[in-house]
Amino acid sequence: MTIRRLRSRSWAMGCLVGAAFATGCGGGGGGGGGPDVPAPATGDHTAIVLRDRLGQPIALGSKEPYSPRETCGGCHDVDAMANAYHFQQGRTTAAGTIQTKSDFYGDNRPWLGSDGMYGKW
Amino acid sequence: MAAKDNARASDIDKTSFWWTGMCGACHPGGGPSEFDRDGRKYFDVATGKFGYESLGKAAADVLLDGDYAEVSNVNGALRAAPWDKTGVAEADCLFCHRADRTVTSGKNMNWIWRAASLRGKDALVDSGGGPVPGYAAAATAAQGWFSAIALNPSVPAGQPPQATSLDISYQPGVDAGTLLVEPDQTLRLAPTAISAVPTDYACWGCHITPEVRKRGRVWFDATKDVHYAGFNRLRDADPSNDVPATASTACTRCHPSGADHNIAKGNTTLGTARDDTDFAGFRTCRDCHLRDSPLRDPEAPVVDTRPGGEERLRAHQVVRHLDLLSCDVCHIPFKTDPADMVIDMATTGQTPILSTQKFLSADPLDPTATDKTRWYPSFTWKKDQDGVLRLFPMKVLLTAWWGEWDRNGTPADLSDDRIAPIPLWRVRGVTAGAPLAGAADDTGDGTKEVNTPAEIALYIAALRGNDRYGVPVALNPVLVKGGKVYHDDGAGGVAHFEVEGSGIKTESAHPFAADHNVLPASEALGSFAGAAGCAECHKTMNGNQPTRVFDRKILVDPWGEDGKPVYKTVRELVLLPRGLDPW
Repeated sequence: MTIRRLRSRSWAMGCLVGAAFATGCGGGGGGGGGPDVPAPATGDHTAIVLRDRLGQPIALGSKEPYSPRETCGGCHDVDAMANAYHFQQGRTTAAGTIQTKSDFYGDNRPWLGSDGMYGKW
Repeated sequence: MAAKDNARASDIDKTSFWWTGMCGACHPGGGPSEFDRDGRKYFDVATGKFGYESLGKAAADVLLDGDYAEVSNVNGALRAAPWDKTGVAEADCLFCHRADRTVTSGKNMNWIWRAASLRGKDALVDSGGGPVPGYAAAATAAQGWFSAIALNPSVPAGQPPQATSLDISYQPGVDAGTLLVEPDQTLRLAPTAISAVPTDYACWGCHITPEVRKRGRVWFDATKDVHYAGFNRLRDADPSNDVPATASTACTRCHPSGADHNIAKGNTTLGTARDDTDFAGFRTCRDCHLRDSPLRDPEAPVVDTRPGGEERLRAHQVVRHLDLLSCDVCHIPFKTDPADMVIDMATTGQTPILSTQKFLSADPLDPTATDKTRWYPSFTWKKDQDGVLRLFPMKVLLTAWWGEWDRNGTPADLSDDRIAPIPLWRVRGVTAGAPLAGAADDTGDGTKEVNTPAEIALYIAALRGNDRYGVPVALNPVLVKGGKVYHDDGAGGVAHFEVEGSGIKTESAHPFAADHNVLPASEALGSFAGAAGCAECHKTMNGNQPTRVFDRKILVDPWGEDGKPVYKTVRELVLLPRGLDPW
């Protein structure tokens, strides 16, 4: 099944901002690209409202933890980004489909739950 | 890891809840820390419902669910995973993209705080005793947004910390200028707090475990890695252009990423890791250094493979050198920092780690030498970026463990057999976390180990006993160690066979690629500035004496039946194509 939940309002902006916010290539996309296009320097981001798990703005004095999903997800497609290998460890395919199963390769290794590290621990 | 669906508690190993708390410190949240294997959020604070409830299930239906149960790794006790108390660990954007990281005495405090909150699990409280959702609060703790955090002092040194209490407060962020206060007292994250490109400390916080412990890697040291030094201008004559460690983004020079956040990587030798993304966007040695590479980095020293090229680069011009050898073979000639060499899970069910310093030395031909300032890697064939198999240097981690051998009803045919690791909580249920009475110290190092046939037989008998749920720990327990499978011979004794060639997919040797800590030509294998030159590898050039590369001693078994470590030479382990061997 697919767990990626694309938000129509955030997808386009997520592409734009995400491309500019990429780790190291500033918009290469597709798993990499070269480092030739400089990424924006620190400070180019706008000030963003800190939000809790219910999406409510957090006020000074609050004891509620902030929510990265609610804070960053207004502009960035968190689910699309969190489908990357560092997050999923092979739990999902490139398309975001959960692919876990015991003995992933069908070769008598029941501890392999995916084509990545997911399931090996 | 525990399967999603389990018939009994005895089948459950580490569950999603356990993994998030205990292993989540080195994973950036999201994915298995947030959603179950049906794609449902484990617990939704907005609705107050567990993910399984959206599928019409009740708590009683998920008692043995690998996503909603937890089995204690201490005693095997089963409980419902309290996701409602911990919350979930969302993808932690700022964990990597925070610009101003807190590094205290070399310690990455952002990582430590996050790890502590996760490991606090459902026992985490504030100083008033009120509950704090340890998983959901981890991202907040990682930013240092708390007024107080108390760590469990009983956690052994070297283990990730565990918080016992956490008082969330955003005032430290305001004081540091990371958070801006609006007139209505709501908070905004300051632009200067966000780094588009993660700094090396963002990577190193997690990778320090697999890199340092498993590979003996060093970072932030210009003398031990030519790339760290070069990218940060630390080797030129101008100190004013030096990039400090806290601002270094050297990792992303070779491991860039795009909007999809798939950080470019090579090809792992440890099984598979989304192999469809191997080398995608990755900047390899050959990309940047080969003269004719379309991706050549103009600042990288050029490698000229043409005959008649520069004298100092002659090794690159020798026929087949670059066809057979990765750049790493010569330019990562040794390691200086100790790494994990052996994990013995068999003797006690615990996971004691033995270092390279115990089994290797600065003399690659004599592992017993007392000089431990260096150790030398093994080599393994690996598919390179261009699809060519080349030798790469490896630190091979050896493990000893107990498995359940299922012969699949065909005792004459090993190829369809299965040897599944026995969860350690079940092994410890037999050993009580200590060597069984009857195990001896055959190595003479003050620590007992299971290695003799009598000891192995003793353990096999014990492991046929029941676990706390009345289920036999194993029906046919076998010891996997040193590339061999030791088993009951059916006549009261112990027999063994070699894994290699058996057809059984199991392993006790795990190759961790050396990869980093690249040294310049002057320090590489075969350097003419060095003592040996070509003779470092080529026996025909050193009077037919053992060479430091192909005759170096590689540990293959930490202790044989006589208690002595077993070594093989690279020559014995690595087969070169016929007619192309260096001897």
